[in-house]
Amino acid sequence: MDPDEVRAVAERMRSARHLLAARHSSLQGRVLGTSETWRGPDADGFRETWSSAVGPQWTRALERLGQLAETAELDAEEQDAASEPEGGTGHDAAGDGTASVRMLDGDAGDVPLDPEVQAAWREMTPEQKKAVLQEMVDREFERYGMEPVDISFFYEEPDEDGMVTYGSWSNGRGELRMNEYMLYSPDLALTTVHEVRHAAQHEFVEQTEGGMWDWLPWVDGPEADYERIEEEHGITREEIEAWRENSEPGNYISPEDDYEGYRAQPVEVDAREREDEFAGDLTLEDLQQYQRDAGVPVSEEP
Amino acid sequence: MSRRRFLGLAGVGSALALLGACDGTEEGTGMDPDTTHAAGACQEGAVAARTDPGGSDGGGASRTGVDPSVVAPGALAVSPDGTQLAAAAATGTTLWSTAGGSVSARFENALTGALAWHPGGSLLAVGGSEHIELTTPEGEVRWTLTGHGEPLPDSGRRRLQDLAFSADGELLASLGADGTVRLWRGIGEAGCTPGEVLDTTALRPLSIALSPDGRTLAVCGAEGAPQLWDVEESTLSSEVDGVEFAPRAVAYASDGTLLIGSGIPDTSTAGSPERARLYALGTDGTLERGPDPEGLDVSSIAVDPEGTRIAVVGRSERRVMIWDRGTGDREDLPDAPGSLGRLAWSPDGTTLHGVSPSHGVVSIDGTAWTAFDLP
Repeated sequence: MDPDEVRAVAERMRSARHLLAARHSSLQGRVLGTSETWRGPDADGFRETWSSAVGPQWTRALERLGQLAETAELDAEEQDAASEPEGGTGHDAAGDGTASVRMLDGDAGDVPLDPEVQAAWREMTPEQKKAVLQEMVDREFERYGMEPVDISFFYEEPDEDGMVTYGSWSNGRGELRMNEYMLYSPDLALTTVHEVRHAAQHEFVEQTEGGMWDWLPWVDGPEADYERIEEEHGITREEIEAWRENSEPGNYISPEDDYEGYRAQPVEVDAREREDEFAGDLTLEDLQQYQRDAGVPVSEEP
Repeated sequence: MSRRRFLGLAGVGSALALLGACDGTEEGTGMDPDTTHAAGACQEGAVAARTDPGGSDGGGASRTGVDPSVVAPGALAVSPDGTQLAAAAATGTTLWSTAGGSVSARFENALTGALAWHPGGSLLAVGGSEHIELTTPEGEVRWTLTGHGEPLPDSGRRRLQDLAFSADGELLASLGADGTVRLWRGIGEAGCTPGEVLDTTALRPLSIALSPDGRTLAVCGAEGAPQLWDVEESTLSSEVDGVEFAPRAVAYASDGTLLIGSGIPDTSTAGSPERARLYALGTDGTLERGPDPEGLDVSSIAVDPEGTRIAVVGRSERRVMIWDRGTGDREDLPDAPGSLGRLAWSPDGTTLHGVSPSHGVVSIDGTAWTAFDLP
């Protein structure tokens, strides 16, 4: 492998990504712009298909191009390191403790929100959106039998590569953070279930840790906890064990370090699968119920 | 409307050290004597590396993805003749014809910081992460201004926050994500001279504005009263007392009135909600409270060329409030198709432009919003 050539390929990928992003934006403008001149069920269907199917796939393709470019650059770096004479870094793909983490489906997280839900989201004020997000978080924690936490909102602009943090969950602090910068995007609603899922992953890993009194005949051991969690939440022992391994110190891959690896690790794939489930199920009526529960006026009854 | 006296604090402090140099480099120190700011430079052509200063702090499990915004909410500039408009798309600076809303140029510079159009029309100041490019409307980078540093920790800001040319076009003020304001003097065909560095970091500044006579620079931020700097002396001449809640945006009207918009305090709750505030500081020092705008935090104020109609929008809001200072009337425009960032009036005052992360550049001529072609 010629690392410089690989880097050049990565650079071309980034250029292609920028070009595709521009074309995507341009085409999207034309599609959405047809609302002034093309009306009716067919027109609505056309635009909905764009918003719910074509547009998100395009966005996904842009993400993939960015990931591939990043992977290529990492490979080039590793090649450089491997080619160094004695005394080099000695770093290899498994050297950071991440290689043992099982990689799963990287495509999870593709299911778009219903166009009606997206439109209703855009109708709300930032204040109302925050209230609805909190309601979604509360409901999601209840789903796992956990105590809800208040969302901590922060503000963070995208980086120069166009990557942005929607939200995060801190196991240590028990803090769920969401980025106010993204309030304009209906996708922020998916961040609620994503981050609460991380909280639940941590909870279930903790619940199945062995305890010092497990040997006592009247104390349930981890086996019973695994069974209970699977029965109550449909989460298998294998899944929890994968999360446990993923959560070991040094095993969680941050998006800044390796975006593709970040997306492919078990806890992230699982959280995006929950996003998909939520996005696929969420109807306008569901959103309106969240709005009512949050004390937000519902502009249009179903 | 309540009226308060503006408490002038002339001579509150000195600015920074700042000696003009002919070699195009400059260094200054902040009000904190221990603070040293990097030398600024005004170099010919596109010389700055276009790299990201760093990612987020990560920490826990996070949800990170591609920002789906169509245009950056903090970048918008209208050409002095009103025929063109500039905003920042994912690929970089994009120009539109205001007549038909079609894209007229794409620079593909990947810069998404603040924008400002030179009053002469021949240069566009384009903000990046830490540098500024002075670009012709055709996309040729004539000068690159460097000196701003890395973003203030925990600010969430990652690029040039604000840019303002003086009316004569000889001065450019830039507010970086590093929390400082830099002055760039003598802007012209020969480039410019890096000027003073105003240490406004303690203010956590968000917005700047140059007075019509170019003698005063207003700076506002979340951590203190709005500051008024003497541009000639580069000294802090006064602070504006009486603004409730954290100031977040400033703009000057043509008569020298300073408009100040604020956000709500942390103590605001659903049970006891507060609203954002709008103030007008007259040239006689009188602080007048205007109508409360929609939303929690004022993110942009645009004053029409006559200086009478004040357009105000809150962060991520769709509703723009227009305050007519002449009549005192308040009008809410029809909701924009998506949440809005920066606003700007056309030079003839007939059209208000805005940038929406979800819908791109949008405009309203008083009746309905229309969208420009997306970039």
